[in-house]
Amino acid sequence: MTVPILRVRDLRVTYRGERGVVPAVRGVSFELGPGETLGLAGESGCGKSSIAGALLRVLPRGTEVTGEVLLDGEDVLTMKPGRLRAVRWSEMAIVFQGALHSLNPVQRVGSQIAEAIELHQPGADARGRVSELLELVGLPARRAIDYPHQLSGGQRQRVLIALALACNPRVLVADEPTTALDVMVQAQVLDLLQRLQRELGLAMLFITHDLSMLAHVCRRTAVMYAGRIVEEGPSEDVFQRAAHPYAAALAAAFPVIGDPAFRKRPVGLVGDPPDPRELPPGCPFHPRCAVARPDCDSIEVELWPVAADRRAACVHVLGGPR
Amino acid sequence: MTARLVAGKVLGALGTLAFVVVFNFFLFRVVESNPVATLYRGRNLTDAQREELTRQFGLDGSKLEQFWRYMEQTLQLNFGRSYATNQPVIDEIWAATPQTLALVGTSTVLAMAIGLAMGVVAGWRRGTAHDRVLTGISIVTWSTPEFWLGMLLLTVFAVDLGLFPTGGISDPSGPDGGLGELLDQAHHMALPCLTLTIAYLGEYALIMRSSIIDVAREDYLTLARAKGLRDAQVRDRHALRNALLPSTTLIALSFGFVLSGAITVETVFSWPGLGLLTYESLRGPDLPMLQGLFLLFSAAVIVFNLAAELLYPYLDPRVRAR
Amino acid sequence: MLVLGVFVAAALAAPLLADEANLRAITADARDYPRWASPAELGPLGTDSLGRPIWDQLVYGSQVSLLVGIAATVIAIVIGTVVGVVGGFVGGWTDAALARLTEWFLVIPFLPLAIVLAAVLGPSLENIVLVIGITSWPVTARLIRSQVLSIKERLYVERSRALGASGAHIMGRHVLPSVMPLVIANATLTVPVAILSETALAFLGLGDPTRVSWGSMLEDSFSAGALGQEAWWWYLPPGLCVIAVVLSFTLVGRALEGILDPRLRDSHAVGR
Repeated sequence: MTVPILRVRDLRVTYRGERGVVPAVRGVSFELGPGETLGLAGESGCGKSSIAGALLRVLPRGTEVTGEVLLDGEDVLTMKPGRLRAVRWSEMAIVFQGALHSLNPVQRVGSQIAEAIELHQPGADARGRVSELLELVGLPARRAIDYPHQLSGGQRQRVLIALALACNPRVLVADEPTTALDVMVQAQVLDLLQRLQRELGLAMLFITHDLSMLAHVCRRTAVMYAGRIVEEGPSEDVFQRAAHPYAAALAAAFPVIGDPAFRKRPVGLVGDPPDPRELPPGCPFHPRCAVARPDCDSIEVELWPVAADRRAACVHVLGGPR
Repeated sequence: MTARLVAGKVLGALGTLAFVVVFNFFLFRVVESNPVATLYRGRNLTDAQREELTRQFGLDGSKLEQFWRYMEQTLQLNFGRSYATNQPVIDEIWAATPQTLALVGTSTVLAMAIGLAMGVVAGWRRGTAHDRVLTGISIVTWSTPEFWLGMLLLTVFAVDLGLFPTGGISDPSGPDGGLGELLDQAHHMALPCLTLTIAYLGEYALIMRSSIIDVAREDYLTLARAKGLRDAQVRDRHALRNALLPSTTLIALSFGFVLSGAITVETVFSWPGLGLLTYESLRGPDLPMLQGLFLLFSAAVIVFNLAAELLYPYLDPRVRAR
Repeated sequence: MLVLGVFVAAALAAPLLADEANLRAITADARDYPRWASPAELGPLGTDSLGRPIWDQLVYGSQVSLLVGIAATVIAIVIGTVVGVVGGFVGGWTDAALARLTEWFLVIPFLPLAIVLAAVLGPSLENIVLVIGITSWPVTARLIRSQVLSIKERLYVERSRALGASGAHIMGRHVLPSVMPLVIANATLTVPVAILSETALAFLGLGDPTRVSWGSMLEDSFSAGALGQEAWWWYLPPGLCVIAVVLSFTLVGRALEGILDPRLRDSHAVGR
C-alpha cells in the first residue's frame, strides 16, 4: 500500500453544550492513500458528519477534538491558526450538503468560488478559473453571476463541488453530497463526483447514510455506529456480505433497485440509534440487534479481523455459540 | 423590484398616513367632543369668546362638514394658526425642522454605527466576557430615561467642567455666518447629540446581537471558515450582511423611538427643534400646533419605514427576484 | 428579582417609610425644612427647592411608577392578547383587518401619540395609565398572533375540531393555555417600557399634578433649575430608581423568555 495522504488516529469528538457532554465520535481510525476512495456510512447521529468537521477543524467553538489527523504527516489538530487556514481548502476541501444553506444567500455563486481562489492563490485569474470550474462540473460559465436561490438543487450541488475543487485540493471530503436531491439528480451528481475523482486523482472520503451508494463510488467502506467504526472492508463485501448485523441491516435498508436478492430480505432495523450520552453497556448495538447473545451487554467489542482486509466489531465474527 | 411592488408599498404607506390623519380627527373632534371646554377648563370665557374659539378651531357645523373641512385643510398642509404665536402652524414647524433633522440624523447615524458594531462583536463572541460587558452596557443604556442622561451630561460637561454650552443652538455673542457660526452650532449640538447616541445605541446593539446569533448557526459560515477565511473575514463578509437583513425593519421602527427621545432631550438642552416646540405647545396647550406636530412625526416615521422597505430588496437578492 | 422585591415592598410600605405630609410644600414650611438642603444638611437625601424632603418623594414616587407601569401593562396585554388571539384564531377578513390595525399602531411614533392623547384627555393618573396602555399593545398583538397561528397548525387542534369541538372550546382548552406563558413573559417586558413612558410623560408635565412620581420629580427639579444649582441629590435618585426597576423587569423578562424557549435563552442570556 502507498503512503497514506490522510491518516486519522483515534479521533474523538465531544460536544459540550447546555444539554451536557455528548461524545459524538469515540475513537475512529482510518487511512486514505492518494487517489483512493473510502466510504463512511451510518445513520444520522452516528458521528460521521462530526468527522468531516473535525478534519478541517470547523466544528463549533468549545467542541473537544482529540487524536490525530495527519495530513501528509502533519497533524491538523495541532496546527497553528495561520498554517491551518493555509491548509484548509488548498490541501483538503469539503463538499458540503447541498441544501440551500451551504451557500451564502446574498452573494453571487461566482464570487463565492473566486473568494477561495483569491485567498489561496493571490494574483491568479480568479474569473477565468471560476468559468473553468463551472464548466468542469457541467454548468455554463454565465451561471457565475447567479445567486444561490436562482439555481436548482442539483445545480447548487454542482456549484459546491466546483467550490471544493477551486484550489486543487488533494483530499476531497464529500459530506452527504446528494441528500435532498431527487433520484435522477442524485445519480448525475454521483457520476460527476466519480468522474472528477478519477480524472483529478483525488483522494476522497465519501460520507453518506446510503450504503448502496458507496458500493458504486468507493473501493473501501467503513460503517459507523454510535461514534465508532463497526465494520470495514472492500465496499462490495461490506454491502453484500456484511459481517456486522448493523451493517447488514443498513445494507438491506437501501436495496439496489432491480436486485431481487434484496427484495426477499426484510429490512431488519428496529428502534432508534442510541443517545450518545447514554450508550448501552457492552456492544452499543445489542438492544436493536436481531442476533444478540445474552453476553452482548457485557463484552467490550472491538474491530476483529473477518478476512484478510476486513474487520468487524461483533462477537459473532469470533465464532462460538449463537 | 418591479414598479408594481414599489407602487404597492407606497400605497400601503399612504394608507397608513390616511389612517393617522383620520385618527387625528377623531382624537380631537369626536373622542373629546368639546376641546374648547377641555382646553380652557377652569378659565372664564364669555359666550362670544367661546363661539369665536369654536369657529377658529373649525368646530362649527356638523361632524361631517367638520371632517371634510379638516381633510381639505390637512391636504393643503394647513393646520391652522398657533394659539400661542398666532403664526401658521406649518411655518413654525418648518422653521424648527432643520434643527431636529440635524440632531436626530447625526445621533441616529452615530448610534447605529456604534450600536450595530457592538451587537456584531457581542453576538459573534456570545457568552464571552466581551459579550457580557457589551450586552450589559446595552441593556443599561436602554433602561435609562434619555432626558435624565441628558441632565447628567449637562451637569457634568456644561455646568461643572464648562466644556460645552448649557443649551440653545448658538452663542448670541458668537460669530455670525460662515464656518464660525456652523462650528458654534456644532458645539451646541454636541451634548444633546451625545445623549441621544448613548440612549439609543443599546437598542441597535441588542437587535443586531440576536440577529448575528441567529445567523451564526448557518452552514455557509462553516463553509466560509473551511475555505480558510480568517474569523473576522467570515464575520464581515458573510455573517454581517445576512444579519442586517432581519434587522432592517426593526431599525426602521426604532426610528420612532429616537424621535420621541428627541422631544425630551431637546427640552433639556433647549435645542430649538420640533421637540422643544412640542414641549412648549404642551404648556398652552397649543392644540393646532400639537396636531400638526403629531401628523408630522407620524409622517416622518411612515416615510422612514417606507424607505427601509424600498431599500430592502437591494440588500436581499432573494426578494429582488420576486 | 431581589431589586424588584425591594421596590415593590417600598411602594407598599410607603406610609411606614415616609411621611406623606412631607410631599406638600406647606408642611415643609410649617416644619421649617431648609430649601435646597443637601443630604449633609438634612438626611437622608436632602430637600428640593420648596424644602420638601427628597426621600419621602422618592418612596411615594415608587407607588405611582410601579402602579402606572403594571396597570398600563395589564391594559396593553389584554388588548394585545385579544387582538392577537382573535385575529390568529378566526383568520380571514377579521385577521386581515386586525393585522392592518396593529401595523398602523406599530408605526405611529409612541411618544407623540401619547402626548396628544394625554393633552386631549387631561392629566390624571387614570388617563396616564390609559394612554400608555392603548399605545403599547401592538407588539404583544403581533407576537401572540404568530404564536396562535403556529398552535393552530398543530395537529391536536385539528383533531379536536374534527371531533366536533366548538371554536370557543378549542380557544379555551388549547389556544389560551398555550399562549399564556408567552403572555406572561411579554408582560414582564412591557412593564419597563410602560415605566419609561410614564417617566417621559411626567417629565413633559403630563403626569397627574396631584401625585408625585419619579418622572414628576425630574420635571420639578429641571424646571426649578436644579441643574444650574448642581443639586444632584434631587435628580440623581429618581433616575437611578427608574433604571434599577426597568433593568430588573427587563432581566426577569428575558430570563422568563429564555425558560420558555431554550433557543432564546442562548441568544438573550445576560451575564450578571
